[in-house]
Amino acid sequence: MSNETAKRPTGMAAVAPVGILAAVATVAIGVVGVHDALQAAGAVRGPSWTEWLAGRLETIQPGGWMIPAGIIAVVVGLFFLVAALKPRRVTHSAVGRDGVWIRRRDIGRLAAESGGGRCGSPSGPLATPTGSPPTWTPLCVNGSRSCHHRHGSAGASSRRTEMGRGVIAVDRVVAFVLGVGLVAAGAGGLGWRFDLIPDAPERLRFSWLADATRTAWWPWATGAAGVLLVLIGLIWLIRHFRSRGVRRLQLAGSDHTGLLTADAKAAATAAGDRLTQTAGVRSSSGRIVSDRGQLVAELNLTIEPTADLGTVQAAAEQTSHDLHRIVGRDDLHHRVQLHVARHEKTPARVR
Amino acid sequence: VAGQHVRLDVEVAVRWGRPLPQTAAAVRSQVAEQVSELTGLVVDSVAVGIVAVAADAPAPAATGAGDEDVT
Repeated sequence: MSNETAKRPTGMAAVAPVGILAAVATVAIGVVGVHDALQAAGAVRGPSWTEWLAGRLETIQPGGWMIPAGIIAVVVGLFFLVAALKPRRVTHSAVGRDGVWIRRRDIGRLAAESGGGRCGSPSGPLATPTGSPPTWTPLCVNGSRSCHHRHGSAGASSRRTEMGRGVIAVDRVVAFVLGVGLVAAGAGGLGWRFDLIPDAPERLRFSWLADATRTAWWPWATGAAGVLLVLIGLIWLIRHFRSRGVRRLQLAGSDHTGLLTADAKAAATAAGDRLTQTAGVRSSSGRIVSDRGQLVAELNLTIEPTADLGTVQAAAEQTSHDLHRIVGRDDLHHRVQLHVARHEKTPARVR
Repeated sequence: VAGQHVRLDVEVAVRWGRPLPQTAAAVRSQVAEQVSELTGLVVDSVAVGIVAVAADAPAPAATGAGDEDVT
């Protein structure tokens, strides 16, 4: 791979749903704190939620409820731990070594249309050096089957590209901490219930918590903490859905005589449009995104199932190099993602 | 406009094929020169934004800054 190629495309991090769940839970906990502050101020009727909870937790002793609760805590905790540690799923295989990728599930479709694979084996992505993603050599696909067509969307990007490294890192840390805590709490509860912990006390008392909820400062503290948690939770949540598209690129030559900029999407879209002039390329889309610390021109092509992959690859590589030359930024990387249409596009009827 | 001094913002569309930084820089210098010549104002800066890149027509060979494909 050249230094112009972007990192390989990957699926959404498995930990992202856990992060979203934790962010929502953070907001919910914050709302509880705000509610109790408002309740103490007389703005909301009803009992204090934290006081009620502290009363329930004042004394804990082994009981039958600990068995299902402990099992659930351990299972959920293990799920969180797996999600926190699981690497992102590889979704594409490399076509050549210059930033062209094909969706893995499309390989079979392309191969099926090849009528036996004259020039390549669809079942055998070539082995690559350790640590490298699987690579495909160009596969000549010469099938001529024609059937009713369905327009493929040109590279509708999945959510995987919308989350930054930072928020995923936070998700992983939180999921790991929660996972360890839940497994420890669940296992501890089960061990306590079945008397497997030597010298364990008969009951645990948290009367200090109940006492704290009855103090004058408690509502103010829960209110302030609640507002903070709501803000943190909302920011955390929003970051999961924030688009990382780059709108404008500053060009070389900008100085006191004037700023030079270019619409990032226009440049990438033009590159995609150029590629639609290649035989076998049905449609395209392009954009420039900030992806895992790189500025990436991401071109998505929908190709016909009968397309010649070698031709498409060569055109994609050439256009990517042209895009680098035209944009003129050393920090730009590129990634061309191929999607194979389900059916070959039939020519429009002439009436 | 401030007195005899002006700052300009220009948006242009270009054809695929020409390096954007050079094209934008050429637009900047030509606009500054022409505006200054035609109005007598002092052009402090010209901000050039390329807002569209047309991919349909191939760009002709570059012959100099005077015939940039700016539409």
